[in-house]
Amino acid sequence: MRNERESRRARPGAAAEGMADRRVLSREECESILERAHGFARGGGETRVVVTSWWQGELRWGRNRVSLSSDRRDIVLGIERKVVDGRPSGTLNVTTNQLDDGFIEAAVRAAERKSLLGIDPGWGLGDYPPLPEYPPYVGAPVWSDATFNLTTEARGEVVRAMIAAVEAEGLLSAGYLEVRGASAMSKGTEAPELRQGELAFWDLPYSVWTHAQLSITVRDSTGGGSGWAALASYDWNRIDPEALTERAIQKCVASRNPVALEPGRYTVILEPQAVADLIQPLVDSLASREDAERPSASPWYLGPDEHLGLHRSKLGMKVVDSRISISHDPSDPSLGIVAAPMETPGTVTWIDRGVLTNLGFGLSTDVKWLEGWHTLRGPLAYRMSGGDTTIEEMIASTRRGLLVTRFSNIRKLDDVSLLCTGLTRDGLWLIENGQITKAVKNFRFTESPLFVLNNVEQLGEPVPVFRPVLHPFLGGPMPAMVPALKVRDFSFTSLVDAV
Amino acid sequence: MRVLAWLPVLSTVLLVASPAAAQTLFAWPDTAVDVSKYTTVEECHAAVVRVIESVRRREFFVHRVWRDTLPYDPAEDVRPVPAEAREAARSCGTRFSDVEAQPVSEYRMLVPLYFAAGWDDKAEALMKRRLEAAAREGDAELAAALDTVVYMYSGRTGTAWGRTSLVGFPGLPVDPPRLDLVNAVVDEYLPRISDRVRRIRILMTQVRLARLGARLDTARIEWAAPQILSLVDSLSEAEKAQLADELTGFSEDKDKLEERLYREVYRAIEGVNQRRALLDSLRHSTAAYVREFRRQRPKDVNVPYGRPAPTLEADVWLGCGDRCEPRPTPGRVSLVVFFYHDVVRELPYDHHKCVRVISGAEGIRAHCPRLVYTLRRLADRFPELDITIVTRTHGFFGYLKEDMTAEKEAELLKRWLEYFGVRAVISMTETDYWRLPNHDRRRIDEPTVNEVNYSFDGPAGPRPNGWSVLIDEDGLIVYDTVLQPDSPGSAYESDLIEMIEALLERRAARTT
Repeated sequence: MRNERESRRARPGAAAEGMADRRVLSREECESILERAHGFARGGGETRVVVTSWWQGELRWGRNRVSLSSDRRDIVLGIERKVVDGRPSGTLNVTTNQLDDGFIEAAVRAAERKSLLGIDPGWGLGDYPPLPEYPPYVGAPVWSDATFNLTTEARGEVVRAMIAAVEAEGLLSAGYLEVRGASAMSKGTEAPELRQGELAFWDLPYSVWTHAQLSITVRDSTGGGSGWAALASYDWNRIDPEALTERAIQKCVASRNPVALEPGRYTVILEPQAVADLIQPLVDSLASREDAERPSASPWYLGPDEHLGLHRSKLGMKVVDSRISISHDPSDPSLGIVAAPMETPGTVTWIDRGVLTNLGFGLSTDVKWLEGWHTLRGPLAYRMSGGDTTIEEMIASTRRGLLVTRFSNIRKLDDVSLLCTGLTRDGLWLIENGQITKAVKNFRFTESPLFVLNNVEQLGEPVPVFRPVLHPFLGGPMPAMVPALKVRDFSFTSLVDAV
Repeated sequence: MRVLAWLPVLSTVLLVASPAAAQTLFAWPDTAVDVSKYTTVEECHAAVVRVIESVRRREFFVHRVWRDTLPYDPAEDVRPVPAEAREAARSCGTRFSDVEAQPVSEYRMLVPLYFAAGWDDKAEALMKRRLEAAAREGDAELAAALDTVVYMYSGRTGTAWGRTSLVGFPGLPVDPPRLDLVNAVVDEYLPRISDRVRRIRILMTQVRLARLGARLDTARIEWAAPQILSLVDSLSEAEKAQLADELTGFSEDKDKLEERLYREVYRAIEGVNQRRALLDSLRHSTAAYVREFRRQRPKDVNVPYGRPAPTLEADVWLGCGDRCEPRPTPGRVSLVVFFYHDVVRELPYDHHKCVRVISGAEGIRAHCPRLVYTLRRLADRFPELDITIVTRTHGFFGYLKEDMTAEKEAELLKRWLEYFGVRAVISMTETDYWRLPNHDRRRIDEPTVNEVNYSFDGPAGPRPNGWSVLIDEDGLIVYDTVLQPDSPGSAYESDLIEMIEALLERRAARTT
């Protein structure tokens, strides 16, 4: 059972081929390390071992010159020991990246010394039934040979071509290209009397993933215009450096000589990246049902229900425009994530046609309150539904408004309303009578994504956006598909003297 | 790149150029701890605390007995400092041993260290210097200093080994407490404080100290109470107003200050007598006990003492063979314990969790040990006590949810309790429930018949986890309490034990 679970998760063919140069550990190597580490744990107690290996290649440039190029890799072997009646030493408190027997044994002994520093005899486990099996989700696309095989030389060539295109226009560029690959596996011995298989449901079977990102900012030499384009994906083949460069150059040229407009409420056309930036606080808030069902500053907390004796959330209530859904299908080729153990397999819909239908929750919430025995992930990766209106059509239908490339420096001002503030960046244009007429100086906005998603006029087609953040626990990619939006009454509160 | 190419050459040159004599071979540093090298009193405090903790840790690893599984022992409160800690305090405190040379301002840190080192005379001398210096500075300073000294001698300062500091002092407490010294300093210095309001406040501290924890120091109350009462009677109106301002909050009625003071003092004195009266009446009869209880607490009209205990109902009985009903069993002293292996309602307060939903390696251990250990101690101590665990179905146990039935839940709970040595009859009731509609889908449990019957005049619903009802051999309710899993004291347990003993004595006397 274990082999079947792991093999389906890890896409072994691709992984084995890509690991020929040992940039990340293979399954056999991980298993060997875990076995050796457990072998050094003698004298009873409990042992948990986590092995992670990662590789990262990066290239950073500024003012058309490369400033950093690296190719790094490391291994983190974390060991937790709980000697009999001692305290748990903490998995990440004792780590090593040396895999000789002597070093591993020394790490195990160090973990045991930490455990002996305190008394925790436990209260006894009690008599529990055997641990259940949690079949993990299989088939999520998270590994790309193209990403893993993008060598230092290849990265240099990519960036050389991008810089050459920028220089040909007499412009300056800065950017960052990064590719990553990683593998991880964990194994513990807690509660051996309950275990059925080798791995408990909270252990991480062997998992591998890749991640790539490329961003470029183009400025003119006077600092008067700025353009930006970027993309992140597990698969380098899905990132087109030439197209990104072309887009950044276009935006830079078009954003020269901006004029100042009065702050106020405008109809705005938000490009997909701007939408992704703006709704990130909302997306984050969808992760915790527990927060929403206790007195909290969660935007989804409704209030106490004295009659039933519990706290109510806004689940089941319409919270945004009915054309908007936010969901995730882990088999979507654009939205693969490294699934954590115990997760609900399959598609999750947090907002369905404007109605809040789900919030992420932990295992105990499901077991105690609901009908299942899984965790429900928050929108680590997500697809926001859209429409079929192109940005050009949105512009054509706008009498007076602004076109926003993206936002930056977004800070949340109020947890309940999700009121945020931030800046427009890298291209803001005035639209008059269906046409872009001039570049505009950047604004500070003060607005809530909840208000924005209730003022939607038109929606574009969802496309991949730049979302380079990594899974908080496993380090895997967290992609998103987001549409452009045309929104009325967007609040800009001050001018910003920056490009 | 050209710079990098030069690096090997450069390093070779440097190595050749370095004189071999300047090299120092690596040697492990001396990591042995020598507390005598510590230079500050704070370091000494920390060292002694660490030694005490390590000694207790070592004791555990040798004896393998967890204190919470043992009956409460009042001797624990006055256990002297371990010899190793005393040696550490002496070694570290040597540089502070000349008490006359120490600044009096350091007394709060030095005095506990002197006591830990066994230098009681030095501690008393420094304390006396502090009080005399305060006396020279005036009434207010002396009152403040005396207040602090009382707290220190009482062992109520310091934060070591979980003892709560009342006045926010960090570090080592005076352990064991020197209550005889409290009396001595109060006798000597209290009369020198002319401010009668401050004197009352210090004496009130005496009363509170006597009632802290599981101990009740009746002699101290009897010593302080008459002094407080006579002082209160002699206060002028202005002094009463001052005392009212200092002692009462904005929400309190200042006109009831005297009542409050009397109540606090008398309650401390009467507490012992009332307890004795209750137990004496219980030994006589439950009716007499209830009469005495009503006399002492006339406002507690909803307390069901003296009422017949409702007969328990269950869909599944375990641990009682074919003699499960009626229960509580007539003719036996019974303890009915409402116990939930997880409760789902979380308003108005969070019930104490017991058997948790295990969601990962960190949650693998159970979480209500004191409750089950208390039950085990009661069962071991009173084999003739009839303990019934009243519970309800939740639809899961631990992480297990599939194919769960009332029988299975009862069996799993019984096995779980038996693991901790708790042998009791299980009364499992099937819970009626419904689910919230419209994406919420939470399970809403209805009260069980036992919860309704045992709610008496209060709202029906889950009882606090560990809520226990003591019932006499005639089926009359005598006492109820919550076996709080997080309660650090054992006062409730000793109360329960005394009452069970009284009931069993009475029953034995009847049968003979």
